[in-house]
Amino acid sequence: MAKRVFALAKRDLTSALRDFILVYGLLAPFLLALILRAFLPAVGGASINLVVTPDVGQEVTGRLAAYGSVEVVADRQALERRVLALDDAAGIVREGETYRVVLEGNEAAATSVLPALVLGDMAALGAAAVTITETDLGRVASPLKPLLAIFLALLSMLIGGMLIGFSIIEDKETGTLTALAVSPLSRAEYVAGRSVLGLALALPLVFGSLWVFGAGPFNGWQVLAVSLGGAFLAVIYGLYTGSVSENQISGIATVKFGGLVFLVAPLLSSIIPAKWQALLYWLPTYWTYRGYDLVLSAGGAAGAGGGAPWGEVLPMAGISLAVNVLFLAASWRLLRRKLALRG
Amino acid sequence: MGRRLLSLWGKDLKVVIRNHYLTVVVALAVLYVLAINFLIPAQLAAAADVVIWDQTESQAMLQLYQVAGSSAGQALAVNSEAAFSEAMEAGDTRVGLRVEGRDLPERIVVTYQGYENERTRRLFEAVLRAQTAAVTGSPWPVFATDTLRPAQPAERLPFNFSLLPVFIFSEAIMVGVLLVAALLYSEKDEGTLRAYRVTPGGVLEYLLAKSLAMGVLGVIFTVIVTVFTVGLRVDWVPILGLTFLSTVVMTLVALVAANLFGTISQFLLTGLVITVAFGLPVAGYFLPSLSPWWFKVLPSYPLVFALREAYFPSGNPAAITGAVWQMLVTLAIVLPLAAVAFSRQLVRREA
Repeated sequence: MAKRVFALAKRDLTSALRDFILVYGLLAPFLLALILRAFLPAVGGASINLVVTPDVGQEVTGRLAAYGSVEVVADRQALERRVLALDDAAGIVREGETYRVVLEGNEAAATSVLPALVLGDMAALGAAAVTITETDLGRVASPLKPLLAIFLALLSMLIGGMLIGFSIIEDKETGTLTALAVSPLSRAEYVAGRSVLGLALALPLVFGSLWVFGAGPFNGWQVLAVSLGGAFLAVIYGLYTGSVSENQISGIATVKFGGLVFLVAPLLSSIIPAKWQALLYWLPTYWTYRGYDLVLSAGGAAGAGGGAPWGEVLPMAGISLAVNVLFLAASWRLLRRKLALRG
Repeated sequence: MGRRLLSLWGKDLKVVIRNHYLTVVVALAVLYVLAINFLIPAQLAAAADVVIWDQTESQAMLQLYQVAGSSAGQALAVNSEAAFSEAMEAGDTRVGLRVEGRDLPERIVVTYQGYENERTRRLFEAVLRAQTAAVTGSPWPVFATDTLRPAQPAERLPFNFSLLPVFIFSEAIMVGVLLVAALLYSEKDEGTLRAYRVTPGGVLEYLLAKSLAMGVLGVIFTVIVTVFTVGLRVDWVPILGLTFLSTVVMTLVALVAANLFGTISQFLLTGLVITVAFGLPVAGYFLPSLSPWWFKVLPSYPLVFALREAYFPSGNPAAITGAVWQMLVTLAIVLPLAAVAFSRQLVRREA
């Protein structure tokens, strides 16, 4: 049995290598990780945008730059055009010995309130009655970083699933399913064989994309524990895509619909009220998302004994695995019918 | 040309319906309607973002933060070192304030998380100094403000409705990125393109027919979601016009990329990258001061703001016209590119 399963997986690998699908499959998460990595500092660096005219003077412009990004424009007209642009930017113009703030009127609270406070701070700094000192907790990663890392990890699994799904669709279109019906291969062996490549790819894709993204520090063993249970997501997604789609066109429709359930549902869990969270419990991605949230938000390398408490990670990984397996078992009847080897 | 285009468009619409694309779009629209109306809250729960341990007798800073509707933010009051540490550990976006002094504040130790950049810290300190000036009665300079569009509504959009432009972008406008590629490869496999070459139809008609078919899908999604969330009383012309034009343009972008690959499996992952790359500028919608130059280059950036203006007018029609212009410029670049790429690489290769 194992021999037949691996023979099918080997054929899958050869086909994927020949068509460069594997190369694209391996490159896509890394490319996405690079895009997100470039995007992250922009979010972390967001403060306020200030626009000034040259008469504000270099010294004041330089001091303003300590509080936000400063753009110097030619005159008041240019300043107003910039303030009216889509993003939030506040103008500062000189008026005799003082300054005037120019706003559009629809800015977020930070941009509408802070420029005047900044000017006030610059004017009153020497006379401040209260001493302010600072310290920090040493958390260097932005709270957005684990969210993006979870998104990448789930996306890597989705890519593994797409590879499984489209290889099944290809079998349908090329008549391979018909040919396999007269071979000793059983349906279960076919499903296992088709799942091996996607399953095997999911783990390196998760770790590779997290590494390229710079998601660390995280406890690698804990990420592995969550990923092992979560890797079945790739199988579920792939088998559903492959079984309900008769051709590549309907396969894309399935990917589109399935992708929503796969990625948007976990994201919904971060905004919907706690009392409605139970509505998402049946979704396999929900638990994998929770698992990744636990281990990627905790930080800490494995060697340093860092990361989330194992007492929380292992049950979460276990629930994730159990829900995935139960979901697969509940779907088996449908998958069995749709993936019948056709003689 | 017009009749041929209409005929091709009709054919593509039939293929779209036969392959359940319309069903998927309607099902997605229903899911979004349910999510917007019942799952996503109108207001996000306000979490405490300042942990304050006021050790002065007057507790003046604490009172300032506890004033209802204070712009200072949601405050969590603590009264011991242990409670302070615990509260700070519990929230990764919190800032801690230890206020020291006898009656009034004399010294404040600000505890940051660690990821805040220098500018954020300076801004926070500016706010603190203004607050302490108010508490201690120290003079604080005031600066006049000119508001260029004072008539804009101050009322905050409900959170669930504020997501509408983002959902229209991600599901209606980006609908064609993967779907059109599947249509293309299917026709390639079936030899339809080869047959098409011997007809009087041109590449431009072929590309436009596909894009227009996707435009119809985008409009259907938009109509369903709009009617069942914000209702019928919206300005339909800019909403549907923006959606249709943008869907056509994004579909053409996908067609240019799809032309570089031989099969749908090869393109699939590139399609995903395109979707994410065009989706990132949407972050600027949630963080309006976030506007790196590369956001502004992509047409998706002005688009979400234009959709917001179309749904919830604030007296800034320039947001819509600006987005339309940027979309038209993208169309002017992408359409000839797609036509050249198709006539050179796909149709000739097929022949």
